[in-house]
Amino acid sequence: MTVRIATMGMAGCSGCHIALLDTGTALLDLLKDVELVYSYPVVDTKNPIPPNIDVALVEGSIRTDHDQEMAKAMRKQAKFLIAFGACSAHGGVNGLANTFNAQEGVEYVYHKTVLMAQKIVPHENVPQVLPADLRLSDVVKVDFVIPGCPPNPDEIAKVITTLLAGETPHLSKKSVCDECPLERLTEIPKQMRRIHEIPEPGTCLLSQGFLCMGPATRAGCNAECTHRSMPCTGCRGPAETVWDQGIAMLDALAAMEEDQVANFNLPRLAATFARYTYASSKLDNLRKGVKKK
Amino acid sequence: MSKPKHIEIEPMTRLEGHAKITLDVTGGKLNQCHFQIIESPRMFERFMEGIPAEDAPQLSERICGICSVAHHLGSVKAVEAAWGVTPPKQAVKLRHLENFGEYIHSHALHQVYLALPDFLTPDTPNVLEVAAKNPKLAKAGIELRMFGQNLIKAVGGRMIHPCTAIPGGMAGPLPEEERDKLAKRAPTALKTAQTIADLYFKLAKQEAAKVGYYLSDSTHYFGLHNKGVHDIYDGTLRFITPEGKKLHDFAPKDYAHYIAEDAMPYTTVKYPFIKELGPEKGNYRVGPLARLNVAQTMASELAQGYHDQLYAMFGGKPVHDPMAYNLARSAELVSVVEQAITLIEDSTLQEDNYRIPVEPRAGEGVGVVEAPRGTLFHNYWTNEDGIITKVNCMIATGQNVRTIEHAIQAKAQELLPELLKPAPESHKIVATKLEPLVRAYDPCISCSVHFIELIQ
Repeated sequence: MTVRIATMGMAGCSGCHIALLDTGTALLDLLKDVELVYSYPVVDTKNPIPPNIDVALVEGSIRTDHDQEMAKAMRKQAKFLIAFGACSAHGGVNGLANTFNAQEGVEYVYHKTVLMAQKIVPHENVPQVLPADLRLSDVVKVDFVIPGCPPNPDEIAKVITTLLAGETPHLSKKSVCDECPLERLTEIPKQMRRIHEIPEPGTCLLSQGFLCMGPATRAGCNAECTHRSMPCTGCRGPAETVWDQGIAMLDALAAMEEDQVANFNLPRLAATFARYTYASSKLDNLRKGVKKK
Repeated sequence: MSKPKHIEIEPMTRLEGHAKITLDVTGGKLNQCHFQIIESPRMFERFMEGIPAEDAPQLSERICGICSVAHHLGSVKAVEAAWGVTPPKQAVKLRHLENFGEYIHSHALHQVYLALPDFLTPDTPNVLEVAAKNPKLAKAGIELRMFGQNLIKAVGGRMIHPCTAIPGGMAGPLPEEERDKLAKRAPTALKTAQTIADLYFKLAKQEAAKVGYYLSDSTHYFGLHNKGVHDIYDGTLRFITPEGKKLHDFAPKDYAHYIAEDAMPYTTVKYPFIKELGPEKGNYRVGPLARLNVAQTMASELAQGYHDQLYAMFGGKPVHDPMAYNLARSAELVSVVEQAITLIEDSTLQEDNYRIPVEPRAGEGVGVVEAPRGTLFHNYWTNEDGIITKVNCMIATGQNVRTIEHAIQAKAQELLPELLKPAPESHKIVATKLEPLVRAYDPCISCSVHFIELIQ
């Protein structure tokens, strides 16, 4: 029997779908024995979502009532549902919006902006914004997570091939440091530095004082960023044994002589330590009142 | 009198992002037809307030996974403008090269994966069908797009959401081994780009009788040019009139003097227009056709040939027919591969002058680049520590939405009896007759509403 695959997108940037295409000509081989039954960038299937889907890849976080309905509709039809990419897996950068009131933010946009000529808030038949950004597993049961902003194409291909072979896929249990080409951390820095400062080549960025999320972040990306002397921003979420990615890094900084984050406001704190995970981070206490389904 | 009928068809397919078409019909007459963008708001501009400006290029690029390079570069240009930084020449060349990589990936994505099925396999319009029917073309197209993605990775460290543009320059040079790999694949990439362009010109000639099938307003056009030469990274902004006369030439930093925006009750996107002319008269378009309409010449030789062919076919500048967007995009695809080859061969990209030290400071800066879909603005304000205090962005696709809507409304009126048929017939009509009008512009809906703008 042909395996039926679907993909869909919620609040996101389509980057995970592009990463799927970045498997290149391997994609054609992958899709040889499967039927792509619902996937807006590729096939013209309209709603309702077709039945009997074997594997569904869902990109994006849940930001509106429409996202929520579509997630539930997909769950109903899909035997194996994958949270595809950082937004779906952990809330993604969208989660940084959980540092302020959503409805107020929406009215803000359409009323008081730099170029706006008149004050209209879209209201006719447009999706309602939820009080907070949610990850996919906050609204439906998720069977597997492919992390990353965006996910690594090799990893995507591996997960799909493993599933098609009837086996259980696994993610790397290591941290980004294990894949990093730079000389490992030898001492805790005394002072934090900002990334516009130029690092010494070849040595651990964290030991130089740059906030590199590598130690707390799941491997599987080949440490692409540190290969270019740029600190890891943590896009693949917490490593296997890390309880909370942001708190783990804050904990590491606690060994410093002075409080390095005392003057950080909430958006900066969130964007620094939980850039892709704030919506699901223990740092976030703003999701009270949002019902988990 | 029959009952009023409300029809929604969703999702719009072979487009990047989330949109639907809604029709309201009473007594067999079309009362209302909307092209509705239903992308979830992500509020970037709001949550970027309070972050260090040097983090913006890697954060704001998450607005779009298709044109992340354009956001990455527009963002770093905005920070550098705010901090009064002039990056070294080598860094500027590297950024040009990275943007060429993005155009190769993005234009190939549109020309091969999204639009080509409308022409080659109209009965089952999808790229897998194209691959089954013409595997050689599909494979070459896929490899051309991957050449673009590999180029982005070679310069930017990652294919999607690159990490190397930093205020003061770039985090590193173009590594030698990467350069060698790219140089090897470049001739094939150029050949494929030409094959795709030739194919679109051939299709356009065959479809010549159907010109006008794609409905359009006569609009103003807007885009970047460098002393009249087509440029996608640096230059002066220009508005031309529907008759092709120059209306305004201005520096990117002055954009707010010339452009204003409107919102509509039924869609989450915003509608920019030329301020002095108002929303309807001041409607304008951006993107490949607009860039070619605005510039006098292309920046490379082979592309100039396609440019001339286009204007010979339609009888001079400006061209209004949206079908010409596919042709202008083809000319650009050839142009960016040609220009990328020149830079890959440039040995100064391996030097050590890619980055200078910078000091964060208070300021305001505008960063403009041409994204594949049109002119993109990032505008930041920073405090004395270089922390962002306010953000305004204007996205390529929004600038085309008014024209897209007009075209859809006219076409829906014409096709109404077919649209009223039950699914799947009506769905097919939408996908093959209405959506090509939208698809021609290659709108990036993911980008278009991901902003919340801040109080002035």
